[in-house]
Amino acid sequence: MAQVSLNNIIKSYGSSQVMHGVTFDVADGEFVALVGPSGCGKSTLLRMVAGLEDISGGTISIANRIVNDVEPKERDLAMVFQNYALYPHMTVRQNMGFSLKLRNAPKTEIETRVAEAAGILGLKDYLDRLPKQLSGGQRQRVAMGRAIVRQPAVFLFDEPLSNLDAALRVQMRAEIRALHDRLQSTSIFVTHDQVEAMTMADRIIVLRSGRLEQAGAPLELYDRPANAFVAGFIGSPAMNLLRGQAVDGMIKLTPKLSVPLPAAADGPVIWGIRPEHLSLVPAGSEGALRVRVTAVESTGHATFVMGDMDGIMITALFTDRPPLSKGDQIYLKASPEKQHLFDTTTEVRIN
Amino acid sequence: MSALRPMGSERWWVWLFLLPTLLGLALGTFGSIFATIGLSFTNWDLLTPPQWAGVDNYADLPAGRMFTKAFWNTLAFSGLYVPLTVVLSLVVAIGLNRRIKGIGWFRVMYFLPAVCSPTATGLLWNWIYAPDNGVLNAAVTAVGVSPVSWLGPRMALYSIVVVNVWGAIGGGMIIFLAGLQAIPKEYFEVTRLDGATAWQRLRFVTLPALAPSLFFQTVLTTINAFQAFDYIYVLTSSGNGNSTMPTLVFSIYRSGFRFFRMGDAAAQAVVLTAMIFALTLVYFRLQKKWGEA
Repeated sequence: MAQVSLNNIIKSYGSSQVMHGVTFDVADGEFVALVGPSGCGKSTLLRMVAGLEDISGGTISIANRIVNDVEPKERDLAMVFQNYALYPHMTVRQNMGFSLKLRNAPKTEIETRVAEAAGILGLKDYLDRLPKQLSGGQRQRVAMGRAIVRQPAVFLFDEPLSNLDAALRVQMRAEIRALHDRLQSTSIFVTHDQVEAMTMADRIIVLRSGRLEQAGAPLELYDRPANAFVAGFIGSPAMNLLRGQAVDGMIKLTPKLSVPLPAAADGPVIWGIRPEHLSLVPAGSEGALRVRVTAVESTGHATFVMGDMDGIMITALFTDRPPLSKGDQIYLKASPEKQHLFDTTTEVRIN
Repeated sequence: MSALRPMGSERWWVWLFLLPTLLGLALGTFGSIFATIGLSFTNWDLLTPPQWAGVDNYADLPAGRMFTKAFWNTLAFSGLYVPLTVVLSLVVAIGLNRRIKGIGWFRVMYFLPAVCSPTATGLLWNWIYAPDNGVLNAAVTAVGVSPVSWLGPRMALYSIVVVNVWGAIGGGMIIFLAGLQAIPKEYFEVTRLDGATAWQRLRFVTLPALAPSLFFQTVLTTINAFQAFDYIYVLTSSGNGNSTMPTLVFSIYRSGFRFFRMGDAAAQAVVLTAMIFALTLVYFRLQKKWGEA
C-alpha cells in the first residue's frame, strides 16, 4: 500500500516534448483512471511510474520515496498489460508463480500464494492449462493473478480490457473493481474508454497532448467539466458543444437562433448541453429550439435523436420512446441548470 | 476462391505459363533423383552403356575405405559444426538485437560471408592457413610456437569446421534476429518488473520464444553439414584428387567425376540422402515430444 505522487513530469524525445509538466497524486488505496484520446501520453505516464520509460524532468515518488532512478523491480509494483504478456510455454500456475520463483521464494509459499490468487479469480480449475487453452477473459484473469501474487504496493493497468469483447469487458470491469475493493491496493488504470474510467475509478485524470486537463471524481467531471475538451470527452453520447456570440444575456448561435446565456459573459463562447439534458417541449414554449430530425437511433433503453437547427447539428437523448422519425419538426428545451459555458479561445469553463 | 479458378481457354494459358517450371522440376529435380536411384543399381563409366549391378554398389560401401573414412569425417564434422553454428549465430543475433549506433553495419559485416562465393573466400582462408607464409602461422610463430599444418590430417577437421561455421553464422543470425524481433516487448517488460536477471530473461523468455527458430535452424544446419563440400574442396583437396578431410559429398564427387564410377557415386548419394532424411525425421519427433512453443 502506497501513495504515488507525480510532480511536474516532463518527457521529451530529442527536441520534441510530449509531456508538459503533469502533476497529480494517487492516495493510498485509491483507484485512479488515466483517460484521454490516443497519443495523449497516458500509457507513457504509466510506464514512467513503472520505470519502463525514463522521465526527462520532474519527480515520481512511491510511498514517499523518489523513484526516478530506481529500477522497475525495486519499485514494488505490478503491471497488467493489454495483451496480457503471459508466457506461452508456461502453465497458468507457472505464469502466476514466476515472479516469486525469480525471487527464490520458498516453493510452499509460491504454492499458497498462487492457490490464494487462483481462488480469488476463479482460476482453480485452470492452473495446469497453457495460456493458449484459455479464453480471453481467463487470460486476463491470469494476468491479474500474476500481479496479485506479488502483493505489490501499487497495481498498474495498461488498457487491460481493450482486447475483450463488449460483454466480457463489462464483466471484467466489475471484477477488477471488486478486486481492488478487496485488496485495498493503490491502482492506476489507463484506458481510452471514458465509460471504463467513469464506472471503475474513484478519481479520473483526463489528459490531452501531454497535459493534465482535469482531475476529479467521475461525476464531478461529468457535472462540471473544467473545459470544453473534458466536456466533450466525458459522457456518451458526447455533449453538444456549440459556438456562438454572447450578446445582451443571449448566445447567438446563428443569426436566427439564440439561447439564453446561463452565466455572465461577453463575446465568443462555447455553449454546452448534454444530449440527456434536452427535453421535448410543445411548439411555442419559452426558449424552445426548433429542430428538424435528421436521424433516430434506438438502443431499446434510450433513443438518440440527431437533428438540425438552422444548420447546426444537435443530439438529444430520451429514455422514453418518443414517436419520432426522420424529417419531423420538434422543439427542444435545455434544462437551465445543466448548461455549460466555455471560453472560445482558452476553452476554460466560465459558469 | 471460385472467382480465382481459371475458366475455359484461360486454363491452357495457365498450363503454358507453368510449363517451364514444371519441366524444370520434372527433369531437373525429380528426374535427377530418380536417375540417381536408378544409376545406383548399375555400373557406369559415362562412356560405355550402364550395366545392371543389382545391390552390389550398396553392398560394397562398408568395405570401401574412402566411403567409411568420409562417413566418419562427415559425422565428426556435423557433430562440431551444427552446435557451434547454432550457438554462435544465436549469440551474435542476441548481441546485434539492440538499438545502437551503426547496428546496420555490424549486421552487414556478420552477414557478408553468407553472400560471398565460398570458392573465393576459400582461397582467402587457404592463405590464412598456408603452412609457410600463412597469416595464422605467422602469428603462431611470432609468439614462439612452431608452425602448425592447419590443413594437414591432424588439424584439417577443426580448421574446416572454423571456416564453415564462419560462413554460416550470417545466415543463422538472420533467422534468429527475425525470431528475436517477433517476441512482444511486453514479455521483457514483465520480467523487468519481476526483477529477472539477464540470464533468467534468456532462459525463461528468449529461448522458449525462439524454439521454432532454433528447431528450424538446427534442421537446416544439419542438412548443410551433411552436404558440406565447397570449402572442403577448395581447402583440403590435394594434387592427386584426394583430400586430407574427405566428407561424403567429396567422396561422391571423387568416385563419380575422378574415378568415373557413377554407380558407386549414386549409391553413396542415396545413402547420404537417406541419412539426412532419417535425421530430419528424428528432429521432427523431438519437436513433437517437447511441443512447439
